[in-house]
Amino acid sequence: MNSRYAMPLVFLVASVAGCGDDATLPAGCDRFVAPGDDDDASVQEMFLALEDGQTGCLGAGTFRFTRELTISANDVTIRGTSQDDTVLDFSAQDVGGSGIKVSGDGVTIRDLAVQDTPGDGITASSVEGITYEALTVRWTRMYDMNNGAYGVYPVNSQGVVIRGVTVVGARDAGIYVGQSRNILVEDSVAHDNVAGIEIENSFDAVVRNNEAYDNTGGLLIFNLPTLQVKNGERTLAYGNEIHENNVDNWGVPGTAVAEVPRGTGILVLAADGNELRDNLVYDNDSFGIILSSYIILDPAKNFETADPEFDAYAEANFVHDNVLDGNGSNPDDLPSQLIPQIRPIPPLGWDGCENPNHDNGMGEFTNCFVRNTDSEGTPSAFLNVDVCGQPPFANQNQDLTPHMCERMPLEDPYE
Amino acid sequence: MMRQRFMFERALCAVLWVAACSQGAGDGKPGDIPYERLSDYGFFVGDLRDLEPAAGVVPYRVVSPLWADHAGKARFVVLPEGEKATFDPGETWSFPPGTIVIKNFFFDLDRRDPGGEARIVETRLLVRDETEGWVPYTYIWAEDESDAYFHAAGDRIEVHFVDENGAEAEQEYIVPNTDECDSCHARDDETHLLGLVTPQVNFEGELGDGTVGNQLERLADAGIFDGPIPATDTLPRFVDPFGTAPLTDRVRSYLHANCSHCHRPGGDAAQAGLDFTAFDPDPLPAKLGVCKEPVAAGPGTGGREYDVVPGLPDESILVYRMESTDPETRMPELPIRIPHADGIALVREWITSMEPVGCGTP
Repeated sequence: MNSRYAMPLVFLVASVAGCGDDATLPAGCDRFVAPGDDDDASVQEMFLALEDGQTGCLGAGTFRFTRELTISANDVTIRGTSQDDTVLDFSAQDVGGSGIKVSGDGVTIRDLAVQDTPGDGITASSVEGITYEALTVRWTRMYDMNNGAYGVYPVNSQGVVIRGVTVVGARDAGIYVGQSRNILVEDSVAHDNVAGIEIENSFDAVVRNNEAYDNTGGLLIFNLPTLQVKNGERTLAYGNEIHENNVDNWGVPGTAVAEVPRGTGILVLAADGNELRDNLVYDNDSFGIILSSYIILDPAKNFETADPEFDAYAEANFVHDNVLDGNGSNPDDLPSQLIPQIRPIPPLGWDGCENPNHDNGMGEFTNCFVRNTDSEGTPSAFLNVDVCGQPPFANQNQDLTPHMCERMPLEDPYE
Repeated sequence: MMRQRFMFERALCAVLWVAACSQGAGDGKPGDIPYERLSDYGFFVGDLRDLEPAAGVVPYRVVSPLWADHAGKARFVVLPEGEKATFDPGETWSFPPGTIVIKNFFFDLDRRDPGGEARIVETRLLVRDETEGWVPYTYIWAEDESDAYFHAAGDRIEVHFVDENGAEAEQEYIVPNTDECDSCHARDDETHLLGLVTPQVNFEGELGDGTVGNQLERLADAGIFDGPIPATDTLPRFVDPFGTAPLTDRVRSYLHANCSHCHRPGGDAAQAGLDFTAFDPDPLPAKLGVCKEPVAAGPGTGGREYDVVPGLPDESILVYRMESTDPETRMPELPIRIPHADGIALVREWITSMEPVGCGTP
């Protein structure tokens, strides 16, 4: 966003932080701080002193913070020694909603671990370009209501890269991207969060080669009403391994993820034009891949008045060539009630709700499911849950014929 | 950069006759903005802690201040000599480069005697730069209150006082780092003034200089504008949230001052979909949180379903977050540690006054 303080502060900070002497700097670092007695001050002063384009390095060891750190310079890199060796411990933090909050454009954070933030881990709000790379965000207490909500949390931003990131223990979503555009999430791991990876109200995300396990839900592609960025589209998810997301939902009631059934592999909620292909989805106890409208969360359709522009339906999605094994065999309460008779619940599902009167700009509404099989090549079963039937659920059926269609594949611009 | 420094020197030398800049730029004393000491600017005459403004330094008040953990605030603005601001009926007065807005934070030593002896702890400046716009700097006062010193990284200060019951008490006051200034003042990638805006100063009452009148007219009389301003009764105005105006006006003014710097389109929390600005007299209820689900909030719902549930403050997330002291949950987010009892009571009264129609089945 800006770097306006950097120049004048250089004079004041260099001597304080003891980091102005080029001779002592590690290679590739413009500034350097090691853990010390007052990490709050020394690290924040380094962040404030960075000029656009510089690299600020954090040494090995454990830094301890009591307040949020902020990064406002543009095109700077913050890096530690490695995500194993450089630990930023926020367990004593009592000021600020995030561990690190980024407002500068083009910032890269890498090779460090952020742990036990009372709020979100690393937030980037309204930026052009943010890269999270080879880092860990974790909460050391499992399934604790005091854990923070989001591990990596870019929101309202463009040009998001999340690569080689591990998030463990988030009380909402481990890897969360909200209201953003042009997103790459790859080679990352999310486990023991409520939601592993969540793309919410966002456009043009590529989610590839990640692993999500031991969450309540593995991969969520969500659109929610009353947000500023509406009706996100075109997430391409491929090469992901989504398995055993069977942890009881410990989300905070009132949040959207708190409604996600235990045992959800991939859930597309109210989002259009997404492509899910070549993913391995196995041993999720409720759903393998489920496409649903928002109506399941709001049967009275209050969203129609709260947000008239909201497209609540999951339409024109393309689900193909996925391999699904062992899903749906021990469903959570809600899916058990909705689908009382069929066990296991078929690994491919659609809630059956469609609204062609709501123009999604694509002119297509049908969700296509083709060439999805188990690992032995047997075609995967499908279920139309008929949530919107008259009466609801009356015509639950497993007829895949209306969905045997192809869509134009989404391009992966990062290939 | 050189141009910017020169501009500052010129602007300040023109105005601040007590400042050390008479020694000229380039001799290293007092150096470039930000000066090391608050006294280097020459804003005040006499004992610095008395905040007696020098000529050209104009005091003002706002009608609906941001809650800051019981801190009192003394506000001033100084324009380069001969320069003027351009008035706007909304929030975008245009100030010339070199303008400095000054806000001092102090604590009453005895809460039973508001306005009595106080300890001054911090001074924040917003300096208008030709290319960068408003640039924030924070100064922390020495314990003996002789001067304040530039400090970019933020700090914690122990404040001791006598509480409402006459008991010795203390609290921790959080000084923001200079980035954090922008977490309130920035929107649409620009730093804005929040107090020096028409509706905040268009009020009748006790003014910054201790007299009584209309604050906006008094600023105009001080000659800060480059032309006449419209009649103040035709201009937007906020009200004292704890005064005698109708409840809706008071709560809207309060929410504007305490929430809308983030919760508005273009604000830091725009993604939440709320808009707490007080301009639209009849906003979509969900913009104020009424029956709005906290879909992107993640944390801090307290198990409640909607931001505001008509008639039911104890089921409203807005109240829950205002009452919280948890850093993840509490609102406003920035270094505020102590819930604002009067503000919470006001918001509760507002929610209670709404017809309890329910928000539908979740």
